[in-house]
Amino acid sequence: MDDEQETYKLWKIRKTIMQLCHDRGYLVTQDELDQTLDEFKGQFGDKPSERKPARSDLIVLVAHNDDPTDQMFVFFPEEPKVGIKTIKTYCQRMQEENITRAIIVVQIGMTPSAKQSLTDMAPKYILEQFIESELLINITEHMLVPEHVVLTPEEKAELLSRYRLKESQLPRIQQGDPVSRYFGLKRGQVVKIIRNSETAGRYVSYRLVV
Amino acid sequence: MYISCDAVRAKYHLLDTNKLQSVLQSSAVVKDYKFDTKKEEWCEVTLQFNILDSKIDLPSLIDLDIRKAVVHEVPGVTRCFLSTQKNGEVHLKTEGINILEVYKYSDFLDISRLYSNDIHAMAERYGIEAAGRVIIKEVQNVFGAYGIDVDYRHLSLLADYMTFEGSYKPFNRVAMETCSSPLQQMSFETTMHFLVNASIHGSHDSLKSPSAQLVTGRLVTCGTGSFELMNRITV
Amino acid sequence: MKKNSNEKYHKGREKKTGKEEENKQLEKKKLLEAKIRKQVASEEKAFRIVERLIENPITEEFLKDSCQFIAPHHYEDIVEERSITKTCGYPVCCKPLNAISKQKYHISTKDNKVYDITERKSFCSNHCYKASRYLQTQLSTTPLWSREEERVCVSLLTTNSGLPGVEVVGPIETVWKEVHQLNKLDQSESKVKKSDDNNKEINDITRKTADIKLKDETLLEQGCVEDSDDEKDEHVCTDIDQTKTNNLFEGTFTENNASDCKTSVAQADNAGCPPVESIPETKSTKGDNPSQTEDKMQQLMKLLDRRKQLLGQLAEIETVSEPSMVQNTKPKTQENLETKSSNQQQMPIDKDVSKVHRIDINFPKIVHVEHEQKNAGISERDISDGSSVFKNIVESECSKTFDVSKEKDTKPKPENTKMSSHSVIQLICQSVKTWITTETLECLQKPAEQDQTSKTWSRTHFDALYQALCKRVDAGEFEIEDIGTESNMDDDKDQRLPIPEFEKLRVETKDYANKVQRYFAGELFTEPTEKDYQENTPVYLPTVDTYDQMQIRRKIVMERLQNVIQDVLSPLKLTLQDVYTEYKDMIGTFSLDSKNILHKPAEWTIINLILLRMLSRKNIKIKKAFLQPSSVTYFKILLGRLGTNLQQIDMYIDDLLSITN
Repeated sequence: MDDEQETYKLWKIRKTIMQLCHDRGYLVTQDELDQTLDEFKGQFGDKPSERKPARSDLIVLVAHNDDPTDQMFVFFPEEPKVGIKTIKTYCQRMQEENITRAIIVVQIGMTPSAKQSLTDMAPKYILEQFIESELLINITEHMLVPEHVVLTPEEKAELLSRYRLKESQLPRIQQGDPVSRYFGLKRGQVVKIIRNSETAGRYVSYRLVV
Repeated sequence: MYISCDAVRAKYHLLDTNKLQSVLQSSAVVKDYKFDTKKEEWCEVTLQFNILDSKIDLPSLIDLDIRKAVVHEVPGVTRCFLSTQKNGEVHLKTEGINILEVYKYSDFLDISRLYSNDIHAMAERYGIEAAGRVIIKEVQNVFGAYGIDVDYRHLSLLADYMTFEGSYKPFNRVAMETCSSPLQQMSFETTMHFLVNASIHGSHDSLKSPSAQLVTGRLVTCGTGSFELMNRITV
Repeated sequence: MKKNSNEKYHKGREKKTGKEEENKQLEKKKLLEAKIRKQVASEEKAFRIVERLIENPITEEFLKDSCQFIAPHHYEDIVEERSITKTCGYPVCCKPLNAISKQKYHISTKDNKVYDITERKSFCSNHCYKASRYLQTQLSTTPLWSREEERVCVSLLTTNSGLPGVEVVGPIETVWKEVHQLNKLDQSESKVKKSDDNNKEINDITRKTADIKLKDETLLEQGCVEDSDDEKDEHVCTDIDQTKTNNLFEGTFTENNASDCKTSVAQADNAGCPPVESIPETKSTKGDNPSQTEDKMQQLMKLLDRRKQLLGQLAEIETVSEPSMVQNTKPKTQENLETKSSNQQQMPIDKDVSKVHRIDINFPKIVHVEHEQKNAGISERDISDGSSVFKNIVESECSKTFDVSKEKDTKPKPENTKMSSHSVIQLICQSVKTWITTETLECLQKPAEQDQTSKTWSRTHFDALYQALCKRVDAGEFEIEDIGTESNMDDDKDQRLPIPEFEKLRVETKDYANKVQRYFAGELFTEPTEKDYQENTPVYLPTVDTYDQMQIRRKIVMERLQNVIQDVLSPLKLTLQDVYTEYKDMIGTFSLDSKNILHKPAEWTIINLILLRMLSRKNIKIKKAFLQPSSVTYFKILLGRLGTNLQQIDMYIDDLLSITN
């Protein structure tokens, strides 16, 4: 892949990551959200093959809106396939800086043992994994994907009591669902989905994450 | 799948002379090479063979080789064509699906309006809600071909039912296997099969599903049937 | 109060039964929980081991011990993880990975193979790759949680061999390998089977002969024909010659197609070769001579190895520039396969040879017919057909020789042909030589007695018998015509037996009734008659195969000879009866071996000829038959094709008979 395409890809991915962080509720400046390709090149350089920028330069650190101490890392590993050792190094870094959440954007894939080690880290350190090709576009911008809103635990309790529901009676969404992963949802959380309906204008639905 | 595009960009970066040289040097038989520099639609190779050599049946050789040669391919996509819609938009439609490939052209294709009739692919890439929308659209298209207009509410109920579990579940007797009410299974299709299974497993029906209640002649627990009335007895 | 107590009692009881059920359910839950915990724990342990094995250094013992707790997919993960960190994938090896090529395939010019090196890239050397594969295949595939009783013992590869990658097998090679495997299977099968079924036998034979043919080819390659005295090799050569000719006659050739070569060989065998080879093999399995079988086994193994080499080289056959005919025969197969058409175009000048080729093409059909006939047994065939077939066979023999000449040059080399034909006959003579014993010589030198036996089979004798038969038939006809007239009945009366007396009959029936009663009562019925004891005729029991190999061999030889004898007898205008007894006697004196009765039908015809010549020395009739003008011309042509003549055959026979003296 030539430099031009590579740079374009990296720019796109970074943009999507910023939007993702923003949608999750982390503090992201407007400039970062609207960064154009040229600005990106200016900031990081445009020869990825010569390590300008190296993927390690692209690391993102964001803090939550509500709680500044709640920070999130976004790592871009160099090697195409990520192994346990890389995960360990990232974990160490997170430990040093006292950060609990992180996203790893792998180029091609992750080894099965590495994935297992990710789950081992929980609940202390939450690491999520994305493949670069998934982040080339922001799926929530798509016309078919409605607006998803994550409910807080209180809102969830209120919902269940209002409709006198048991959790199992709610429609479900899988944890591995693209939107679920976009928002980094855990089991038991509820999303509020606001669809545009032909007959009713807006139609609100809820889904429980399983 | 179809994508609307504002303009098709012509490719630049072609070093025509380099291309010519490389083709000419590839074989001693190749004498000349011409190609379309504007639209990249054709090329012409001149081959020269010695007359004294034995006859070569060139057409059939070429025919054989052509079938094996891949000039350019996008895995998964067999054909594609442009169609102009009524509102002036140009849509790129393909036979076959390769979403990742399309993402590469996001600068002139409106990716947010990408649509596919492959529901599994959409569910995998855009989530279950998107898949629900696609289900509705596709069923509308099926009936629309016959001029039948089904009300949106029916279809949205169908879509919600099929996406209830969080994954795209079919709505046939195969999916009925997982249903908890044997009577509901039996009243759907292939009664004998479900009846035999239920007998073998000694299943029991709690008569909570509407189908089971209808089968046994009870009142459905919907609307007025969702509660019982109790009278106050004064002694 | 009482009621209350009763109620309490009942309630208590209900509670108790409820509790019991609850307890049971709890227990079940506990068991299930324990099971799940165990599974999770074993997975966890495997994961920890994987983590540990990614880091250097690792001792061999640790690796061996940890193999108890991991599954093959864990091992793959280990290799992958290690390669990501740029160390060799084999856990025991600490070397770092150097520059890795980005290519997917590696072409080895040494062994002409294409290797897929995607896996190999994770290792530092071929040895590590092979050792890693070796270890991976030993890992147990049972689930981790069920391995308590199972003890997994692995061993690490210590030899210095290496694997460059995963071989990418092309379509021709897959066919080769399949044929190779099939042949191997058949070999092992043939040693176990002892079927009497003809068809099975024949199938076995075809495959085995294909096997043996190729073994022969390897032997040929070693150039062991003329040098060794080993009879098998000689037979091997003759077999090969036949193979090659048969190969020619099969029209299905493609360039360098080893599989075709083998199939054509198999077909050729099916067409032409009688079930010879199976019998010695079955004999060997019967354990008559264990040492013999062992030797055979060893030889077979050697041949197999050589054959493997041959297979490897079949793809890169080049013309051999050695002058010796024998060594040329091997490359000849390939060349012949490739250049059959061109050879046919570049025909030698000799007319006869051209005739040969034309007839050759018809050969397969005729031979097939012949084969069927053979299966049916010895049947009366048209002498003309027989002779034409025989001609073809002979022509095939001589075309063999012509093929030999063709391999290099377009011109036929008469010297070569003579040489080759000589060698053919020489080979046959050599095998016949092994048969001849002193007894044979004695048998051959008894002319006088044979005349008497021949007399019994003479025409006059038969004529006399025939006359007698006719008279009896006529008499019988007269009798039939005269039935009905009283005069005849009176005559018959005198000739008839007297009517049995009534008293006698009564006594007899009584006796019989008693006998029957006694039989049903269970007493022994038969009383040994004195007659049986008085007869001292010797009782002939059929001989048991394992103890009477010679008889079987003789039977085989007789059978083979009989199959083709008509071809030789017809020009001589003799019948089988004329020569049968003498043949049998002579063969009775031969010392046959399991190895020297392997021959082709064409060779059997020549053997027939030789034997008849030998018999002609003592049997005047046969001698006269040979002197008949028709037979003289016939044999002249026949042997002329072979490049020899009757005198030379006589010389050979003299040679044969003299040596054993």
